[in-house]
Amino acid sequence: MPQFDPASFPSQLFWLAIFFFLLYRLVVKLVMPGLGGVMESRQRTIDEDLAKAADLKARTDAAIESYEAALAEARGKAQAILRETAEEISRESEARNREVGEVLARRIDEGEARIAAARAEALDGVKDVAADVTVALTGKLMGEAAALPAARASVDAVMREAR
Amino acid sequence: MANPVEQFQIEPIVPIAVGPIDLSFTNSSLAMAFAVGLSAALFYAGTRRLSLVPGRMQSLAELFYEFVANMVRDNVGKEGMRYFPFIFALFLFVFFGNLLGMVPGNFTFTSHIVVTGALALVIFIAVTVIGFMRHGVGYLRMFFPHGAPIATAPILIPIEIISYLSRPFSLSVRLFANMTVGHIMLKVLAGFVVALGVVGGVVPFVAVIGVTVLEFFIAALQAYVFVILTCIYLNDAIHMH
Repeated sequence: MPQFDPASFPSQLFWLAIFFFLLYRLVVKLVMPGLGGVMESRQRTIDEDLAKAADLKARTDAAIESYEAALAEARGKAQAILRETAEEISRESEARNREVGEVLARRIDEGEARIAAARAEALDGVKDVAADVTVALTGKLMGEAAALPAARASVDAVMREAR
Repeated sequence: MANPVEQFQIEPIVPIAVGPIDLSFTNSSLAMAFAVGLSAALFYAGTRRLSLVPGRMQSLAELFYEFVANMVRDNVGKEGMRYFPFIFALFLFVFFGNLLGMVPGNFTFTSHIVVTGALALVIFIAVTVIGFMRHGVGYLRMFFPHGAPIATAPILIPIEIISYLSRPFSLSVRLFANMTVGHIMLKVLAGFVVALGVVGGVVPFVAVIGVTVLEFFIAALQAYVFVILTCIYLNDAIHMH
């Protein structure tokens, strides 16, 4: 086999050294700075973009959080105001109710007093009339008129019985 | 019918002699020139208009770069990237050497033991030097596996030394034998096609087609194996085991 013929070894090794060295120089001079550089900068760009995206996401989350906190606070405040207002209104209306009730009660009392007075007056009037009628009737019927105070007393007694 | 080993004959193209030593530019040298030229063409075209978003040629060039870079990163780690240019050049040289060898009429320089042997020897020496530079005399611990009982040392150490020293042989013979045998097989089968004529030759012809596909696969695979073993040896030298 020609592979084991040492005569060709020096030339093969010589040209192998030359061409392999050329290829190595090519990789070092052309591939590493060019391709390696651009791939490195691409990786850097991707990493930077990812970092930026993560940063923006964190900021968005923070903004959402603070917005929600503000919202919750505003809602709490609104509820407190609502409660306060409702309490105030109920307090006010209660006070007015009481006031009106008092006025009405006073008027009722007054009215009742007036009615009682009127009724006593009327009863007194009836008593007088009844006594007068008694005196007149006894005079006409028996020829002798009863005394007025006695008539009154008997009218009183009859009325007390009727009640 | 031509002798199947004739295809490995070194033929001078430009005879050069330095004293008694023959340094002729041969068909083997021409094949090396093609492999280097193809690599140069690929990376010249791939880096002409560099952009963050790669074009067609740049993508192809990056494919090669990424493939070998990942191999080095996975097998050697970050420190291994210092030696990436050498490993990348090695891969391109063997890969294009093997594949261009599949072009009919072109010489396969990786089918010569002196070429694969020289590459393997350079790798072996470089790896050993790197190992001693990083670990000093401690690199000799390579020859005694960590945690093995001390009584096994008389057996283990010679075995480890032999396995270490046989690395350049297995590395070079694997590539050389694969390339040589593949090409001989193709030549013999193709000889049958001619010998058996139009009717009988159909069977070996189909076989030749199949073997040709297989040989393309082996050409790529052996380049990969050659380089990944280099990475594994380098990893041993850098991290021990």
